[in-house]
Amino acid sequence: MSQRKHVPYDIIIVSILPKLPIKSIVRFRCVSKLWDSTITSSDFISTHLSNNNNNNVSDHSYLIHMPSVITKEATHSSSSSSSLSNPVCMVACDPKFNKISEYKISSDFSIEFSNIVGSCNGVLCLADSSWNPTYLWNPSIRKFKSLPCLSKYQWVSAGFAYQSETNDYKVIKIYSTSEPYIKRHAELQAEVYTLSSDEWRRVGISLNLIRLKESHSSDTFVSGALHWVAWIKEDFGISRKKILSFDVNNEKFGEIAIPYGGKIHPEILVVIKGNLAFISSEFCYAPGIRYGVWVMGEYGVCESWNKLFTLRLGGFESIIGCTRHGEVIVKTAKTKYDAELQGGIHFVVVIIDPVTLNEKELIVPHFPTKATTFVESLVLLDENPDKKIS
Amino acid sequence: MALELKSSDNKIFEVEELVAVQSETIKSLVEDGCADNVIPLPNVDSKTLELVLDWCKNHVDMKLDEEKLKEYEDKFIEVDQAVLYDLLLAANYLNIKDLLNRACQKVADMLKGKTPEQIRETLNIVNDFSPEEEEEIRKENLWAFEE
Repeated sequence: MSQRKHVPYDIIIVSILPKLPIKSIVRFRCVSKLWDSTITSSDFISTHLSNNNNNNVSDHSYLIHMPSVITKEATHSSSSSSSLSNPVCMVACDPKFNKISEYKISSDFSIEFSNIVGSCNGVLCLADSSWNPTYLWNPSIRKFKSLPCLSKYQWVSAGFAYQSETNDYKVIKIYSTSEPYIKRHAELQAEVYTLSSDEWRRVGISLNLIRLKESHSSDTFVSGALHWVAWIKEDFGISRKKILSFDVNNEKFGEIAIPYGGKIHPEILVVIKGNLAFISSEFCYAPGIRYGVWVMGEYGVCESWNKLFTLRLGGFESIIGCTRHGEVIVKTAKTKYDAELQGGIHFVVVIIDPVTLNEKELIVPHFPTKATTFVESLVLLDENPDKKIS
Repeated sequence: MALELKSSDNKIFEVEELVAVQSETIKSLVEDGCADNVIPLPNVDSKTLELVLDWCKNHVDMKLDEEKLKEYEDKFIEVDQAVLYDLLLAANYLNIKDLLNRACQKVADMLKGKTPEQIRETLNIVNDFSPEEEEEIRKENLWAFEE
């Protein structure tokens, strides 16, 4: 008896489909109604994500952002409706920084110079030139969602996180309602957007927050919170530089002291081997800039700050990120001209292992500003057709 | 300690306990004290059981040699579709995680470049979409249908 054996449907859904490349999975929505509803279900999206999203430190993939090409001109310049001629705005790499894919900007984006607020589970939060969070975008499935925006503020600081307790995504923005922002007692306010409610709402800031240093909090999610460098007023009118934390679960702000009473200048906050870390610039007599990398061994405990290493970079070199291992990702001053490629000048990114001083080079087509962790996922596939692009 | 397993076509296999308990299903039986007699496996034929037991034995033997094990696994899974399905179903029934994973990965590799029509054929699925409905999904996701 040779009966044709069939693979049970539950094995297909749980063990086979999640192993397919995203392009195939989305294509197979057409197989049948059952397949379509399963693939677009939030359960399947979560299964696929946990299949691919190894929390192992050595397994992270990374995304290099080149947002300068995301301008109104670029998005509307191509007369054809195909986005094939749009410039590449992101390069995805495997944990060893070999290029695995390139993502082009969407023809539907309507913002000027874009900034990346954060990257969670394959979804990016994009902001306009004033850092107002505007879109959630999953480049792997070419799908995005516009965030409601009632008023645009200047000098917004923002963060983007995934809340595992509720399987929800949150965007936080901290802004000043008074102009100019740098006024001594500018009042800072905060709003949180959740994907499930599709709404912004005010959250209170219990600290005496004077101002924030920079506007990005893109790879600073650790111990359930997002982090920024900020000036916080203490008793007796002194304001100190500290790290501001926002607990994504209970939506409360907190503060973490930095070593040497804030005399250090943290430039970038990162996460190294699961711990909060910062990269600070240090004065040095020799030309170039010296950076120190500090890691907080125990979250919230100021005494556990420990300087891991220093790194000296030349002029026109900048640190655009850090891997979870502690390798530093640097945009170098080097460019490479490739006559075969359109607009031949390419930029060189170098990944430096501070312990071995081994370097790995990666060439990207446009000016890179940031590197974040990344994973290919189906998140947002179940969102209602907002605007979709091919 | 040896166990006796009986396939669906009544063939008896004598196997060391260490090898057999790679199957979570058999492991539970042993732990519950139900493995003293012959263990019947009505869902697995002798041809498949022989292959499965070979997998299990090699996983015990080569446990420390990752490279050698990988070489074995790659060769092992190069079988035709009918045998692959049998292995997959047996691994599922016997709850042997790494074999199930590997067999599923192989099936995934087989399916990955296919069109929806080819999937329906391979897995014997009926298309219950109307042409308009199917076209709508295609239009929404043109990029997935491009090469």
